[in-house]
Amino acid sequence: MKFSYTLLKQFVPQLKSKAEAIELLSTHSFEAEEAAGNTLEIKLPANRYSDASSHLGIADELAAAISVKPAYAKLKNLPFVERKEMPKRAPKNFSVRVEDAQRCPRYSAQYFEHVKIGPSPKWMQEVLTECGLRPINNVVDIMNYVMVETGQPLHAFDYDKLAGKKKPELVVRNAKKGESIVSIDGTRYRLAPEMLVIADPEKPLAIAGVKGGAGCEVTGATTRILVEAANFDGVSIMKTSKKLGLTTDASQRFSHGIARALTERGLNRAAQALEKFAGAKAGARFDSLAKAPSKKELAFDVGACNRLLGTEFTRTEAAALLRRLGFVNAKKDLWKIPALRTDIETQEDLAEEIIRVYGVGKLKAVPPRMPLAIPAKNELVDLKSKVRELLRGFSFDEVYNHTFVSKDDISLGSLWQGGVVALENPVSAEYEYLRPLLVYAVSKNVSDNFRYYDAVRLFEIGNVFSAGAKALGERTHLCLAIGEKNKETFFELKGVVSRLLEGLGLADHAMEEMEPSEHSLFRVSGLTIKAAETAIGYMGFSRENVSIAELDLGAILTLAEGEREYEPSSKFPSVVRDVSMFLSFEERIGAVMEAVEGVNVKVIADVDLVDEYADEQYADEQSITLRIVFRAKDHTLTSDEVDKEMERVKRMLVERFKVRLR
Amino acid sequence: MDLTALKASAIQDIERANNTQEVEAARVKYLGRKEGELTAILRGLKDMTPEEKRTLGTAANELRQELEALIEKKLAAFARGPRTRFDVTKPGKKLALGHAHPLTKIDTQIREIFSSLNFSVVEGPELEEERYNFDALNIPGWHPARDMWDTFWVKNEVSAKRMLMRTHTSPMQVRYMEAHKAPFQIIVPGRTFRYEATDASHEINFYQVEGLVVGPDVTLANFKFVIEAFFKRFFGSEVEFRFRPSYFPFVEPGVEVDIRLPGGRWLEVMGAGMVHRNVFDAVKYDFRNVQGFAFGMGLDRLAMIKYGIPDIRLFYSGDLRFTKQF
Repeated sequence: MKFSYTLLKQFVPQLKSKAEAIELLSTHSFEAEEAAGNTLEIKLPANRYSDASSHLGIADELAAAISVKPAYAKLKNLPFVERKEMPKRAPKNFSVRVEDAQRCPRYSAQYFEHVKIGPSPKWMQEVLTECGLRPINNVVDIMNYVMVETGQPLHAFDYDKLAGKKKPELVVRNAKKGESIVSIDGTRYRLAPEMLVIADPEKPLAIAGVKGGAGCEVTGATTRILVEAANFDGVSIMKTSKKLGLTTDASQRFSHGIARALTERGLNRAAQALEKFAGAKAGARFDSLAKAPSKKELAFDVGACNRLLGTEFTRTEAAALLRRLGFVNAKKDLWKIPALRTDIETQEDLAEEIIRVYGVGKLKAVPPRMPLAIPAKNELVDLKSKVRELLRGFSFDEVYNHTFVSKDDISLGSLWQGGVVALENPVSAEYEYLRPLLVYAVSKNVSDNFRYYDAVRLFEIGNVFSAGAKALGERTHLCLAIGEKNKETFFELKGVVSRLLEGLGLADHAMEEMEPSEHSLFRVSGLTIKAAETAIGYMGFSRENVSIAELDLGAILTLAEGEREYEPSSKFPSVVRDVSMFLSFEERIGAVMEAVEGVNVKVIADVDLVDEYADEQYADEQSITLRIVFRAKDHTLTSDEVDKEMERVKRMLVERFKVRLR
Repeated sequence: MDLTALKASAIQDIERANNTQEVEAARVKYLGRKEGELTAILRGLKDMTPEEKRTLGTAANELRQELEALIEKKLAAFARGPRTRFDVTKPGKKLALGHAHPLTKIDTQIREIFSSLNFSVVEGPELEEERYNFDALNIPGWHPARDMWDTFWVKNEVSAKRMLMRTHTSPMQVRYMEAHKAPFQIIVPGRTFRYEATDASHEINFYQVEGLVVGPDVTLANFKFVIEAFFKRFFGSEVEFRFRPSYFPFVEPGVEVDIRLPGGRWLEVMGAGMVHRNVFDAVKYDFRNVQGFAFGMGLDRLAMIKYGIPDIRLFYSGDLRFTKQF
């Protein structure tokens, strides 16, 4: 919100410069920033509009910070004096009816006559311009000036354009169905029944607390006016303002909730200015509030304040700090809260007042007394660190992608169960859905990086989302990819995935070939990675030479084993034999190797593929060589024993896989 | 023999020597004490005119030094033996080690510092319930402060809960306190979301670290101590601090922390404060028996400051030219 340094300086003459004002506000109140000319940009906290969306309020803050009294009464152009409440009368020449006192807790209005429209004084125009407002004429300018000075939004109606039976009749009511209003600047707004309007018996005159309507505004010909100073419920105004997409200086103030006590101050000030600068004569005033709002009082306990802040203020010191902000000691520990400080409700609020006036920066740092407990382990946190460590060793680079993906992305299909989750309000079609998988973005990362690198190895760890039957779900996934422009990469990735799972304590896992229909995402072939009969991930090619795997880290966490137990190394030597054969492409090498191991698990310690060769001359067959490692736990294997086992292996190969041995 | 011819012949003899013996022979031939050719010239100097002494003498002495240096170099080469073909000065093999993302690095550093201060690290969901993100944090519906967090709302067709992408890591304050008793101290790193236009300093997703310390006598002065200790370790002991009042509905008093590195500007890095009694109420803690501080900071921003990264969008670009620098 924009503020005029010219006006603030009049209220607090001790201020040396705008820069000082900015510094004082930032240190003791709230963020303030430099703006062009004599303007300050102040970021008001949401709970301080009641007292501080006004120059009087900001002056109070500045004066408290340097421990002086603001010079309101010395204001040269229009000395500010808090007037005593004017006697209330039921006005003879207009009436007001408030239909919803919940949403309009206070409505004050005053009649003025002999108004002479003309320009407002130059000093006033200056202040308004510094606040980012455009001067129009003396009456409108006074309304705006009083708003920026006191924080109470005001509105002036041309009295002679208001309808009523014998006299103008104002009513504060809900908008009617289908009702609309043309604002002062000529825009038509369609109103909804939950919106509050100020109306006369014929038409709506203004959108309450937001904007005035055309037709009853002050013009050059105006001589009699009705000035409104009302108080509206913040939520109601905020909803209206949001729904209409219309934010004004008034709606901003009302939306945040301002004190009911303000209407009086606003009207008094407007009356003073209208008399002085528009030759107006004040008439009757209406006020919907029968009794003045009661003053709030709060007990303050300096001990509790010190316990919260870690300070050692004495009672006297704390009291002096509270007084600087206008708090008044009623009796003993009971303090009167300034009427506009709607934000002060608890003991902690008072502690904040004390520490900020004193200076948060001056607070002494004190080491805490903390319980010495071993921090709880978070297994998923640890697992993610471990994955990163292992993959870094395999020379994978880490990427972070956006959580949101497009319709095109998800149309590639998913691997896990569950529906796709969409945003209600995406920023763009590119980011419309919550990612159900990491693979879309990671696969794009590979092709993007092919512009700069011939070989790419990268991974991402991130959360993915899906809709279950009863709730929206979130899981943590890992996606890793290898792409090389001129080299097949699948088996390298397969090796990495196996070593990774071993490193994570999941040596006992299987990789099963997927049927082509199962994996539109991996167009050529793919594997389902399983542990304990549960799918924990998938891998395949997304394109030629780009291989990708995606794993569910949460599932891995529940299946991973703890620390390994020591197993003595075999004392007996092993014997290595190779067997070469022609194998049909219809058969799977993985199945062959598994079958070989199964021939005699007691002595076959390992089977490895050491050579493979495919050539047109072999037609539908490939030549492979398996290396078999034989070892017994309890004795040295004799050559005879190994020969016998080899015979069994060969027989099995021929019978089961129809191989031709070489 | 004239000196020029002698020089040419001597250099040739030394250069052509194939072993130490031949070098020695050349040395004797020219510089030998008894019959060395150059030695003879130098000896003859004493019988010459002062004019000849000056010109010839200087040249002869220079030549002696030159030949001695040459002989020494040649002998050293024989002593070392021939160079092998194994050239150890060739560059080492470019073994690849993967690179952690800079945000991972910053995150790790932060975790390490707080772990050393006896904090536990916990994480929470990114897809969050409205209640945890707002209501339980003293930000009920239509609270004007909700405008401080531009929110991505999520379509929920499977339950009645209003869901959103968490706008801060603060919901974990509530989730953690609902499940644990005080005293404790935790940090919550994680991804957060804001509905806004992206530019060099704004992203629709980014990272925060939340901190929460609750106990019977935790004070704002304690907060100051912990946070100063953290930033001094993170940025080095020359870092300066500025604590300012601030407003967040879930704390009271609320403060903001600025830091300044040597030669730099003041930078906003953290919002914090004492946990609001309404938050304690929401998790069924008795605010008369516990108090605590909470803080939140942007990881991306800290990484940008620490590594001099000018544009937040680089973090989410997937560009390995970026990651490989860290």
